[in-house]
Amino acid sequence: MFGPNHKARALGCIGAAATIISLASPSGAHNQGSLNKPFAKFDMEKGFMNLPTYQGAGIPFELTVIPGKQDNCNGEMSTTISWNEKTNKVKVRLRGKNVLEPNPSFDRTEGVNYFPNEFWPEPEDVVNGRYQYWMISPGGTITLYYDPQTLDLLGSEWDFETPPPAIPITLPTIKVVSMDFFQPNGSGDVDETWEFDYDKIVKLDQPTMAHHLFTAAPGNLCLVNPFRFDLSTLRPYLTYPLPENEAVNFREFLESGFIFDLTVEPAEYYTDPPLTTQIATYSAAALTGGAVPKGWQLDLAAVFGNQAPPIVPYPSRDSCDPYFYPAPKTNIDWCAQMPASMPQAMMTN
Amino acid sequence: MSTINQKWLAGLLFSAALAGCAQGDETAPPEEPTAEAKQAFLWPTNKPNRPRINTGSNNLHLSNEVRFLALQPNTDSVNGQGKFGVASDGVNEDNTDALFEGFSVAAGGQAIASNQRSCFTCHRPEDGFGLPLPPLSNSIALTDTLFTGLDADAQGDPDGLSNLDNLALFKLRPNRFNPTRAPSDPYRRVFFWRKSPRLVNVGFSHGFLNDGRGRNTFEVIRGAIFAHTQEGDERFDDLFDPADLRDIETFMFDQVTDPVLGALRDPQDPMHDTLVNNPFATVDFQTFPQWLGSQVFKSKCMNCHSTPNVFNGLANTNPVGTRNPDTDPAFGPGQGGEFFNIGVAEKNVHNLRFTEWTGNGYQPIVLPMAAPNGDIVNHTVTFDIGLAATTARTADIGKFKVPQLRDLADNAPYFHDNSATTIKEALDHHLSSAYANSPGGRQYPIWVSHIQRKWLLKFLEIL
Repeated sequence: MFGPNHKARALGCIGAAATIISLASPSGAHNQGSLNKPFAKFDMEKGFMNLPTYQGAGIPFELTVIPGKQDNCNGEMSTTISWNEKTNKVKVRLRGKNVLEPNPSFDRTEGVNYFPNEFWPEPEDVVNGRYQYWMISPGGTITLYYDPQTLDLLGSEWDFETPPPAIPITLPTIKVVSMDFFQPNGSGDVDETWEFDYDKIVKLDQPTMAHHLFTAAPGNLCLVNPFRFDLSTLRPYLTYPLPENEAVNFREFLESGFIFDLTVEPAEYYTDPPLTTQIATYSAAALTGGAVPKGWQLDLAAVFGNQAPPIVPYPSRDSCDPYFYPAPKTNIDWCAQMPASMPQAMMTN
Repeated sequence: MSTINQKWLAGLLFSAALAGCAQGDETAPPEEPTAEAKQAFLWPTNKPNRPRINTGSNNLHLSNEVRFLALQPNTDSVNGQGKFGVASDGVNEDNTDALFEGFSVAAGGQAIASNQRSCFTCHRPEDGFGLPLPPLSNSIALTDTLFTGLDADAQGDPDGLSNLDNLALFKLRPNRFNPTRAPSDPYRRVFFWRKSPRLVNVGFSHGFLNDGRGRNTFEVIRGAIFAHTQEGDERFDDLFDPADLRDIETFMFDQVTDPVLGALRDPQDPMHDTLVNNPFATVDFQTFPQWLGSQVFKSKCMNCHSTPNVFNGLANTNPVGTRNPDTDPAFGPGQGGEFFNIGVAEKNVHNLRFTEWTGNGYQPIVLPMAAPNGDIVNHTVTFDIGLAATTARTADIGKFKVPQLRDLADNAPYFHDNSATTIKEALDHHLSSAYANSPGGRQYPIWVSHIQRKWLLKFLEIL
């Protein structure tokens, strides 16, 4: 029986499909607003989701967002995810017209938008690069180890065969997994589809490896206020890809909320195993209710601290300038501010 | 005539026939409905795991799976009762272990003094862990900490005492303890007037608080203690032992109107599948019109009140921290849910004020919000904007959680602002033009005949 609800749904599908097909026409810097609607036909076993994909929507600390194309620097893309547990398939499709420069290059400046990080090594610049798309979702926890004398960060549970005689700190993580590299065509158009196995999400550029874990960590325990994320000094921390046997089911991504991020990578891997740069263009986020609207940004500090609202206007929404998203940095020495009992509190909160 | 119209007409005629029978003997014991009678009520019904299309600000990861927030392992409900402020008799207050005060590093190294309120103050066992009917001073002495601690939430607002006593509404600033925004930020200043939600059956909630903005009970309990037991805007996170808050959560989840409902939370319970598959398995029908009302409810109301046997909103997400609370932190999206603007907030029946008291006058609060297309819209708050106060999205203005309906007759008054005093008033709002013209009403229009409304009332009254 084809009732009014079915008609509404069908019209919704047609409308949504039409908006995907007619992605934004070339525009200048001004944020034009978007008609590209987020929607999902959701079931854990089988379904699909469309996420409008913009610049700045969902980005990690210390990432630099660059315009996809100078003549369309606030363009729109569309990410469609479909899954079917029975056929063991997950497809991710990324589309957009006049959205990316082929073979992108970008120079960063140390101290401005590039801060060397021994726990996330990366090249300062990218020359004649390529693009890589990432599926991202909240993960479990990671245990980081700190030197009991200096309180400096030593590494994570993934760096040690056995736990070292060090101070363990547990932090929440975001898991990130990559798709294979690609280039847009000469007009800057993109229409790429990648396919994962539903029961085993591995890196598609290196299928013998699973996801990475990302967190925001203090380089020294005295730089963190256990009750105030915003008053702490934190740096992004990324593990190398976990072993293939750590690969998770797609449900682990699907249930926790999505972020997608399109990074700009050098023409060759710069580490082995591979990592990623912190230079990116488009992203999408459905980590909180709905997808982050065009010209808005997921406020990671709010998400980590459970503060509201979780979105803020994207600072570069009306410009073609690159945007660097700073990590919380106060340089306050909390060991000098807190009672002697505080290290214990830091370990239990 | 099309098939759909033929079926509709047949259903209508059969309903009318049934109505005639039902009117004749309303007190007769319920009879097993015939297959024909059941067929007459095969209108579109809510189906578990039905795919949905979400747009705007509804969470895109919502599912209709029957699942609920998991409890932490190894918790102590008895300790939770003491921390909640309920005496060992289960009825009276004992706040000996229920106050959170002392020297706080997190609050900038100051001493936090409690106003002696406990969770019990606003969630009393004899009132379903809520408050009695207003005026509150008819049943609660003005010397009670409910009133003497008023400035913790009202913070000097001239309407604070009147709205609390006469309407049982508290002043709340949802982002009061967000240290990442300046005190002058309109999101720090925005406020609303809300009822104290009843906590019986809270373990079946998807999203907590009236607007569902609370993603887990740990954070909601902590926020409530910040907001209602001291007058400042400082957080004192270090005065909480996380284990105590988890014990309070366990105590709260133990409060159910019918012990059988506990099977819904436990897939291993022999009754679990029965309660999942029969939405009315625990409803004690005494008359045939009550059963008829349940069928009207099934077809007209369960798009939103979809949790079987509890009848709140079933749509939920299942992020880390919900699945594995013993190992994973609450992080990312909340558990709930699907929220609706059904036109209650705009009506503002009590003519509540939403301008800010400055000490010598009032000024409007203007929030920069995200329109669905990303435009920044400056919204002047003139009524309770609901979920939008914490999501910054215009699509969430006036949205609230779908409340559960068990024990409904004992839960008056209704809606987030206590604006309906009877079940009839609450039901009639859903049949009004205010509902029909609301975003939620346009999404799920409700039309019932006069006799269907009568059956519906009879059903709602026995829940």
